[in-house]
Amino acid sequence: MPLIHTYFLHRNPSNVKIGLAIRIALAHGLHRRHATHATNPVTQNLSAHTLQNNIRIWWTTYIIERSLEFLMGRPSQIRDEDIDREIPSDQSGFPPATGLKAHTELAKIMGDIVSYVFRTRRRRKEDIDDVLRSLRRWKDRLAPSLRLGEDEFGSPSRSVLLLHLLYNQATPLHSVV
Amino acid sequence: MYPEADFSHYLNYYHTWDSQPLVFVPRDPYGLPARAIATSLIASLYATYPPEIFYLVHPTVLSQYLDACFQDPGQNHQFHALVNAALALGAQASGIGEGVNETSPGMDYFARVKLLLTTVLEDNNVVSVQILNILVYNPILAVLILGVIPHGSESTRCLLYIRISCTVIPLT
Repeated sequence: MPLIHTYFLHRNPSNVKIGLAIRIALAHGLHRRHATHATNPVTQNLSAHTLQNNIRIWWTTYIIERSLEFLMGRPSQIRDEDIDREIPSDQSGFPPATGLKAHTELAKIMGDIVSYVFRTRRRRKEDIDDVLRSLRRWKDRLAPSLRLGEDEFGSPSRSVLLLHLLYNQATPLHSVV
Repeated sequence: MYPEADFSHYLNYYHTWDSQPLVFVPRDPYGLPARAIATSLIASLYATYPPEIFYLVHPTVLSQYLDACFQDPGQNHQFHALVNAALALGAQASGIGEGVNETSPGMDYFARVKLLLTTVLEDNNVVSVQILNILVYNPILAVLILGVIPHGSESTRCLLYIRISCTVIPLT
């Protein structure tokens, strides 16, 4: 906790660092579909493992950027329409992709919240309703392994708890409107 | 023109401030803990932080970097930066730091990464992205766990705490 607390007091340096990470990732085309690198001699012969590694690194960077901007109420650096990277998929040697995919989807909704709810222009009710619908849809479509069990004495994994904590942070923010 | 005469109101609202400077003890950027401690910290890292929803660095790759750092210290600053960033998170997870009277486990490792960061940024590759991700990972968890949100009234925050509590308490 002390280290967390120390870091917590340094959100701006963190914000700068994730900005740098996004810029470096963009420079290397991590946000683009692999096919778009076909003419690049450095990336055209990537192994399946390296490709999956890059996909997951990109989406983790995206998640961290979106989450930090959401939690700090600042605009994101990259628009969703500029990204066409493949979503993570299950591959031998990597953790299951289900959790990372769900987290990515939630991060996209967080970006929408920053764009539509915490924007400088006047908020529109229909945009906010859309975001709320997206949140509900996200929860309804969660894979069974990521749902909180009905059994209150069950022990969900840390991943599942963190995912639901993020979801719960996103939901009541709309009562600000 | 401005309803609030004191500009600090706006600064606080937009959260442009950070409350305390980070204080680091100067460190040899290529220093490493004993191998057994490093292995234990990395085990704590993967046991504590969920690899299923965040992908920071592949365990096998991290292990290879760790081997390279021990075999040839100072040879590759990127490997050292990534390993120390991972050790910082592992130290935080396990509560085991390098300092004797350390109140913030992991700060020594973090200090090394900071020293290596300039060259890491100049390298400007995928490993640089991973190093930066690990450095930023902590504040996300902190904001998440402590529930501090820059928006909303007190009542909104209270509602948030209640919701988080309702979600977590029955399950812990």
